[in-house]
Amino acid sequence: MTKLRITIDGVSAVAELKDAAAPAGVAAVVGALPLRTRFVHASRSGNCAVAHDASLQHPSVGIEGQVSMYYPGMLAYDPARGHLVLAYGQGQARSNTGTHWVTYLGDVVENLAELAVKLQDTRDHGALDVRIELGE
Amino acid sequence: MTQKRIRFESGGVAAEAELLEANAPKATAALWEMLAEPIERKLISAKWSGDVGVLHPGAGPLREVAELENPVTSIYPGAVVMRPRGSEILIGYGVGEYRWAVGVDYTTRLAKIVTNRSEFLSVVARTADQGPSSVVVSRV
Repeated sequence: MTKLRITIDGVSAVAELKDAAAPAGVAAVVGALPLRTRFVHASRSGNCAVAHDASLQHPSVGIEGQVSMYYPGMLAYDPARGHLVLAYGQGQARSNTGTHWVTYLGDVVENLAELAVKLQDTRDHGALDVRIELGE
Repeated sequence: MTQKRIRFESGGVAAEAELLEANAPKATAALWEMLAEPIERKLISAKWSGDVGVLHPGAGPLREVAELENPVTSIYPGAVVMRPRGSEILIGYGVGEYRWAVGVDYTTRLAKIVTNRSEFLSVVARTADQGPSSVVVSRV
């Protein structure tokens, strides 16, 4: 099972990816690693932070494991927009035109509580740098 | 009749907004009363409504305004809108629509920014990336 290590402002967490349910999405994200980018709090999607990076943008990759609602600890991927989303509470994939679908890419399985504080901080204190790399 | 104006100041940038008294007589009267003394609040980026900044007025006359007046959902750049009972005041700087977890909802238009609009809206927009800032709201 593919794992990601996500490090924000000194806090590190591990996510397990859905290799079987979202193979193309997992390959696209893994291909962009290691990735240094920023998490900005969502302005339409609720309790989540979003990394928007050109290396994540793959318009030819379709949505897999189609979901719209976010649950705490959920990692979602929008290949067309190049968005990687980490949720820390209730949320939904939304844009200015309404709701949309995203790939259910994985779940944070280690250190979600501390990570969630940092994700909330992106709204309370501003965007934060993030490092995403393959986990061991 | 001269329209009443209120003033927003954040990050060293100020703008004036005309109260939409004909559109929302109860809400604008309550806001004017509340601003007998300037208020200072946190201006924070929306997390459901898009390109808008949010401030929470807190206790005061707006709490008594429970009904919507000429309700709208869209929050256009420079529009200042309010949720019933003044739970939130929102300032649009881009594409905004009042939403929360379960979907779209209505707001009352309180005012529109008429001076120094682009500079002030840039300050509001910065909250999305740089975090909250302080905003002072006062009568003109």
